[in-house]
Amino acid sequence: MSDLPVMPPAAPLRRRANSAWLRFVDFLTFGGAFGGTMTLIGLLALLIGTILIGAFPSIHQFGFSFFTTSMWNPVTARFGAWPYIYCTLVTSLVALVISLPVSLGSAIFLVKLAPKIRFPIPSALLGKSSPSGWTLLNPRIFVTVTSFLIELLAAIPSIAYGLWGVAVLVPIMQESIQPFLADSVILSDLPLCGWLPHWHVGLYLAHIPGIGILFADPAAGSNMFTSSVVLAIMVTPIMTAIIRDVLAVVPPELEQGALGLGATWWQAMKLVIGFSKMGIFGAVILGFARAMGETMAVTMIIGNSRPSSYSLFSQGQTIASLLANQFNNADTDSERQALYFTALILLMITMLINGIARVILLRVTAGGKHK
Amino acid sequence: MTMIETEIETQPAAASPTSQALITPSVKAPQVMTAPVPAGRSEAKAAAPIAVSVSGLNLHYGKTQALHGIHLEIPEKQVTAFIGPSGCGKSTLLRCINRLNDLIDVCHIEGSIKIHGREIYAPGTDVISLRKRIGMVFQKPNPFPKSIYENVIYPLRIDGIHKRAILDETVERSLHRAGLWDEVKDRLHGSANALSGGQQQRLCIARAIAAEPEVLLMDEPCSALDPIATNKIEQLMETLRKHVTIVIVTHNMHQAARVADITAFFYLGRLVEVGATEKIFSTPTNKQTEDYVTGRFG
Repeated sequence: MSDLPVMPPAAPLRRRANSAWLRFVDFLTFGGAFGGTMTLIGLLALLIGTILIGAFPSIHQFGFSFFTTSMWNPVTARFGAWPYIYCTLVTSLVALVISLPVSLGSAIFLVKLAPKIRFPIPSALLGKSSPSGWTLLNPRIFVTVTSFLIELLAAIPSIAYGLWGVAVLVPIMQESIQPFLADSVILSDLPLCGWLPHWHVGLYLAHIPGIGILFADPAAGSNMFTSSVVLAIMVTPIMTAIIRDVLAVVPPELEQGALGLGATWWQAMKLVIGFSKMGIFGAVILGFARAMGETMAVTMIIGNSRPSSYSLFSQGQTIASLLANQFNNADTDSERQALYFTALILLMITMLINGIARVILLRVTAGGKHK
Repeated sequence: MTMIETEIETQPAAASPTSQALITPSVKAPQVMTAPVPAGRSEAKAAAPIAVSVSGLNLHYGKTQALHGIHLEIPEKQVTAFIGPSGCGKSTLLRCINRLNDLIDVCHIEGSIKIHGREIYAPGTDVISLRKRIGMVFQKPNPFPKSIYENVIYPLRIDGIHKRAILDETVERSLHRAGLWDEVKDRLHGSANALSGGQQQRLCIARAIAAEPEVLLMDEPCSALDPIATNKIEQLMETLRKHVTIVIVTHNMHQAARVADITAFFYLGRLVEVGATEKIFSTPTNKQTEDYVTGRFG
């Protein structure tokens, strides 16, 4: 105890506390930090302002009927955005329906299963040798690598998804998937394969009002449904990441309690999902906002024409793809103003949804950590 | 590459450790004294049949051994308390009884546990149905995010029982036994999270006994509760012991003295001494036990 090492004396302080230069640097630092933030907020205001001013004549002229009419005629200067609003909402909703089971499943895998998996890899890859030639990976590495790969999907540029969609997905959709879906749902008595009672499913689905309309007339592969599939792939990584964080704050006592009472793993997972349903809802609507704003991939796949019917297999035009296609080609001021109006609608919906989702998620994850 | 932990010796993909658990009861003589025929609080209990019998139990978490050669017999319809300082293995042993340690994949168990004569670590044992026969109450009250009613009948729900009459009857009986009926009978369909901590814990007890388990495991059930709630749960145990074998892990020696017929003292993963509660607290055979129960350590 007595022979602690003696610390060397501290270096003498050489700070010139009152130097004008240092005070100036402090001022610059403060100004940079504050100014940067204010610039961003100012830009947001400017952006909303520009769109609002651009859209104003159109808002004044059409008012609420803009949401409900389907006319888009630059010559007579009559505009209505209903088809584009419909396409935007429907492609995004279908994307969520496809994406939710996948992201929920992979989030459960990442939180509950992957931490227990020792993934075998050839020892040679690690530059080691072992009698069997295989080494078991630490589960932590497995979780990190799996999460990383899933999040990498979010980093792929949307044009790449668009290219993949056009080159790969559109032909597959056109030749196999759409005819199958249409047959199963609409022609409920057509047996495609013996073991699959799809006619049974179709029988029920065809009785739900509206379902038949959604799956009518499969023709070209470039349509709303294919866009939804690509959108689903694009929103899955973010939804997986958020649901993973939401599930991670579920108290372990919940799952253990259920298992201790003799619940199966699925029954315990149902409790866990029920516990985090608000957070999962937050993830879903955040994914919804993402899907609605997505432009490039959708523009490449959706067909870019006003939908001729409500069918998912009809070509379409979302608000985002409409703006990308039409804004530079708008011939008249009134068309440009109408386009501003559609942009305003998209902006308002996505901002509102984003805000709600973030508040929900903040409360869910903060509440979980607090306990 | 220090994070790459395990080198496989023979097979590329090891099966889960529990499925490899060696079911070879140790032939060694017990290292500690075995449970004497419990004297109990009265002579009548001396002949109580054995509900849970543990023999030669060794448990490893990875490379550390958490339990060393445990031999223990827990009599039926009595309260058995596990006491000992933190990290002595008492909760670990409790979780072996309903195989909740199976969830920890580095956990490796040797030895034997029999519940009413049936080996629970035998290959092919149905763990789910085993856990249905054993209720468990945790340290922290863990009501499910459902109504009070749905919480109590959860064990029945997962068995697919939907008959309203059975469910209603179970809720009333279980809540009565858990001493909670009068407090919640008017808000059975309200959220369980609205209850106080003590009420939540009694709800968890009601849930654990709803399916009439043979054994009720309680893992420090009062450590998150205030003295009044603790007292209620201790009174409750006094009535529950008529119906079910209770095993309770507790940090609180006074609690063990108050509620238990049999007390087992654990230290550093070994069972040091087990016997009738009065004997453990008045005339323990072992010096370590004496030091612990008199408060000289722990």
